Amino acid sequence: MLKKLLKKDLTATSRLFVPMLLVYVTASLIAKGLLELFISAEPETSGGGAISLLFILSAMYAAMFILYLFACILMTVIFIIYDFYKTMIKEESYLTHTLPVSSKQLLNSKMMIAFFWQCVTMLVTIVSVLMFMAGHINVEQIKEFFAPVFREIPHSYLILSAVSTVLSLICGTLTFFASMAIGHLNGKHPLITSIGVYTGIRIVMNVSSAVFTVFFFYNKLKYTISSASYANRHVTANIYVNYGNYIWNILSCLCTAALIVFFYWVTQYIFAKKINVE
Amino acid sequence: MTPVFECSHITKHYGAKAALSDINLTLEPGRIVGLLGPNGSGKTTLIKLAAGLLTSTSGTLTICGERIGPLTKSKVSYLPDKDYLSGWMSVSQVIDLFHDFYENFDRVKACEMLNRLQIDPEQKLKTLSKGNREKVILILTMSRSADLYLLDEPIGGVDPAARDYILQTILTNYNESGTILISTHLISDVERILDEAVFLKNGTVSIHSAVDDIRNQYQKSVDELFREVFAC
Repeated sequence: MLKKLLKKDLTATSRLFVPMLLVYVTASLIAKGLLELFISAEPETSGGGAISLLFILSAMYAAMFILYLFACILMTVIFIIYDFYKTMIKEESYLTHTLPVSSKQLLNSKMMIAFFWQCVTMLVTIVSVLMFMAGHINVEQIKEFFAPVFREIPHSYLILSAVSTVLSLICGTLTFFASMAIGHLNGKHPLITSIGVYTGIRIVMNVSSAVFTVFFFYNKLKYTISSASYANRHVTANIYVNYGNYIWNILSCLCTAALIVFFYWVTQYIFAKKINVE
Repeated sequence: MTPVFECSHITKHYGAKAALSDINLTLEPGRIVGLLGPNGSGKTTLIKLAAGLLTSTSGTLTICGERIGPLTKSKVSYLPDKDYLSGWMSVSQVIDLFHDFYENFDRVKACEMLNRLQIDPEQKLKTLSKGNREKVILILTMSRSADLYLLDEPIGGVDPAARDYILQTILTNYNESGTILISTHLISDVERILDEAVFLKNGTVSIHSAVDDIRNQYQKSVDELFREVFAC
């Protein structure tokens, strides 16, 4: 049944995401074209005025392109929320919640499709930026620039950072889902309630994160300062700083994972035991 | 024989308001049952509880002996009182969807009924008239060989000719070993097809009886009794 749900949700969301991404790819190609045109234009034959106009147009287009890049990222989130709200809470929920599937399967499908489109948007963005830079950036220069980074930072740390990014994406999506699930319990004003719940959750999460960060790094700084009194203070401090960041990352991942489990459970429980399609 | 629909002490509150109060109702297979009551009597609430769109405040409700869940949803064919399909889908896409999810969905029957209505399967739902959209939804519902059909106000807001079509479609396409529960306040139109009637008043069952028994006992038609029971 999950495969069927995935097919259904993918079909429904494709009509939102595919046009957005196609426009983005087209805009990227136009941006690239304008850039190449500007770079290849010869001032002697074209005249200074034409170059200035081309420069202005290219600069304007580049600004719009960057805005559209951020708009794409924002629209990805909006489309995910819109699809969930429409199919799980509004009129289409009559179809969704009468399908012979469990609430867990419904939620798993929504999460997987959301994650899929977030990854696709990220990939298209990266490819677009690389395409934009292609032909003007020396690959060897890039390798030389990043070499110290990869030399000094352990691979495990990079993997941990990647895991942290993935967990954050999933947690972000589930925060929206859980907020809407709680909001839908208020049959009269589900949207406003969902917004209020989301705002409340974010405030609590941000305050907790800030308190924990201050506590953690205060203790890290204390240790760093106190360890400076020893003869091999630089080595000790460096080791602690590196391990400190490691520990910080691991703790962050664990907290995010715990939040994922919590928000998943809340959303699934509400739709399984407290559903209120009015 | 396991009752197809059984609710025991079902209560549903919306805040302080009780939409349903201590409902006890059992329906046997193979019956056409009218769930009758004025607006706000709790008909839609009871039907949505059976469809799995609401959860009761207290009490138990089972379909074919099972609590509401994926298994009961595979046995229940639900026709809501609102349009719930995505406008961007074509008729054939919706048929594919139903065929995918419901094992008891008869695609051939659905296509035949659509052909008779001259509805193009490739047409998008949003381009259909309201009446045709409702007919498509009805066809999808009645093309399933379900154990329980929950029809919420199927003839509300339609013209008399359409009402006849709807009732005819219901009668000629349902699984005869299953049960139909029709909620309506247009009694005179449905009375002729009903086996049983359940009167719902202020969230409680005031009468549950076979239609013939009602006529014998009260010497009135169901419609006349309804007007008397629910007189303002």
